[in-house]
Amino acid sequence: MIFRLAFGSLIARALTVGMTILAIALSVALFLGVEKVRTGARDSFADTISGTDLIVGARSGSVQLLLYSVFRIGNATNNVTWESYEDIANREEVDWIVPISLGDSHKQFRVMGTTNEFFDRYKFRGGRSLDFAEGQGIGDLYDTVVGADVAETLGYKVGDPIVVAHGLASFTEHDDQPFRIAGILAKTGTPVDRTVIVSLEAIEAIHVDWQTGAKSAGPATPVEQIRQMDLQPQAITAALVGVKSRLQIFGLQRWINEYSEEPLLAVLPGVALQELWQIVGVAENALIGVSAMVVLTALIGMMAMIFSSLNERRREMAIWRAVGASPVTILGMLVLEAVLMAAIGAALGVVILYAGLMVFQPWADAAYGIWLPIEAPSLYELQLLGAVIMAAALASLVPALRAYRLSLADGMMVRI
Amino acid sequence: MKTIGLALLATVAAAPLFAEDGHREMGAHVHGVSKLEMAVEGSTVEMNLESPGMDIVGFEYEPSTDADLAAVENAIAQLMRADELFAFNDAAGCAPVEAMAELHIHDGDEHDHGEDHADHEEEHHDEHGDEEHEHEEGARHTEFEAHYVFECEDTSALTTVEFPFFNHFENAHEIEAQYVTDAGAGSAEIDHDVAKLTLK
Repeated sequence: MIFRLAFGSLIARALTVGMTILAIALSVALFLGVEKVRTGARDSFADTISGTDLIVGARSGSVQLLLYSVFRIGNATNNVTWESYEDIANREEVDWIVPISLGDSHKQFRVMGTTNEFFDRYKFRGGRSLDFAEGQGIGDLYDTVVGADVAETLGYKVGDPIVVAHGLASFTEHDDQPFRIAGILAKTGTPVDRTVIVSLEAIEAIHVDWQTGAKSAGPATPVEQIRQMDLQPQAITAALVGVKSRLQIFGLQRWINEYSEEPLLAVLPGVALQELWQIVGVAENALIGVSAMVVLTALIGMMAMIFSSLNERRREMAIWRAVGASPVTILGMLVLEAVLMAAIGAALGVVILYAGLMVFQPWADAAYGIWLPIEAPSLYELQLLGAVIMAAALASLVPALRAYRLSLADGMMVRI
Repeated sequence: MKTIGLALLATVAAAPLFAEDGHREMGAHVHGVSKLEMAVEGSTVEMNLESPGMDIVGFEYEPSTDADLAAVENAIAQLMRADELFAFNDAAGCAPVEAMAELHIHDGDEHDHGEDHADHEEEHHDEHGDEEHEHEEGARHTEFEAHYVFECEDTSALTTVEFPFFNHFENAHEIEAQYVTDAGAGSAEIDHDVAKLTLK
């Protein structure tokens, strides 16, 4: 009965109530959206690398090395000489080591030089391996393997010729050396999807005529001649290392960090990620704080709306009193109205959130590599929704108590 | 394999100013913050602990008086009693099988080169060779380093490590821990108030 009355009362004031509900809905969508992006980003990052014990690069910061070598974001780290790489590779503790060489691009995608071992050793999302959707690994100097997004965006098929450019977003292209697509990787949801993979020797080959940074004068070195050349790489960007026993990780890390011939840095991917979250955590908290304030603002708006409606509803309340409603019933009704508004607002907010997720999911994935899963709300999110509704009930108590006092004073008569 | 050995050893590295190859480098040293590395594989848990001398004995000069030496001796003996410092959750059934602790005296340069000069306290020996070395005055600090091996009945049941460590060393405020387990690598800060490491 009271529920029906409260609902009817809301319907009767559809416009103001509708605006209030919309404000609550948008604030809830924002609040949950921030939470989704936050957890989505964390999971996407954590899923990108697994099974690698150490990442080795030039001495920089552990976060910088991780971001550049694995996620291809942030500033480039210095290169590591091939000699140091071999010294590490020859260590007894090292089970496997995969070199990575970055710095070239193909259209908007990064080119990564590595060895075929990368396809076996690189693991993501809790130990899953890379799969070939089509074709196979690198067999020839001019073979490339492209990630799923590269193939999809540029419409590549196995066997297509491509041109690899020198430097990122550079206009000079290495058009005298044709590469061929040997394989296309299945979608992984990691930066590998947006990478063109070639052999380390190929990286050297495309720079044969570019010793000074610009294309040297005279005719280009013929492809046949390049094939005869010694394409042993001089430097790499980083290396992924797996050790034989986990107990040796810290020992090897210390050896690499204290390697005196060259300033090197070895980081544990999991530890570096946690370091990143410690930094990002401050900004995350600020975002959560701001979006919580937006929810609070919407609730205060609702409170103001109820307050301003009290005067125009004094007659209505007098009638309720006349038909036998106690002042407590009136208080309860106003709180119930507020709870209804908040609940409808929260539900609508969830709808807006999922609609937004469906629209922005592909974009966030393509632009930032952040996968926002569309799944049922987590327990935590349900708790947040519950908290919003509770807060609405509390906020409505203030005008409801005023209504309670007014109706005590007014009784069945209204003196306006 | 039950090898519990005691080593009190002091290495004095050359001040960076006089490094022969012109290579100068310093490490980080923060009072009140110890570093712990912990790796779990099979039934074995290995730990490396690095604590500033300040945290353990309350001073960072080279121990010279009898009182200083006794303090260092006591601290090392305490660091050797692994089961009084670290408490694994019971289900894992871990027991210490190896413990080693030593004191390093750094004379401003923390980098360990092959050509480092080494000086020896008391009757103890280390692997750096026997060379006389004159001490320069400068930014000097000391560091206790300890290494532990535990054997566990079931490392998959290993979920938490508590640190009664803080009860024995009152100047220690924080341990920065890095760990590697089957579930991957991670890091955590353990402090006096929440002296517990939860492995994910």
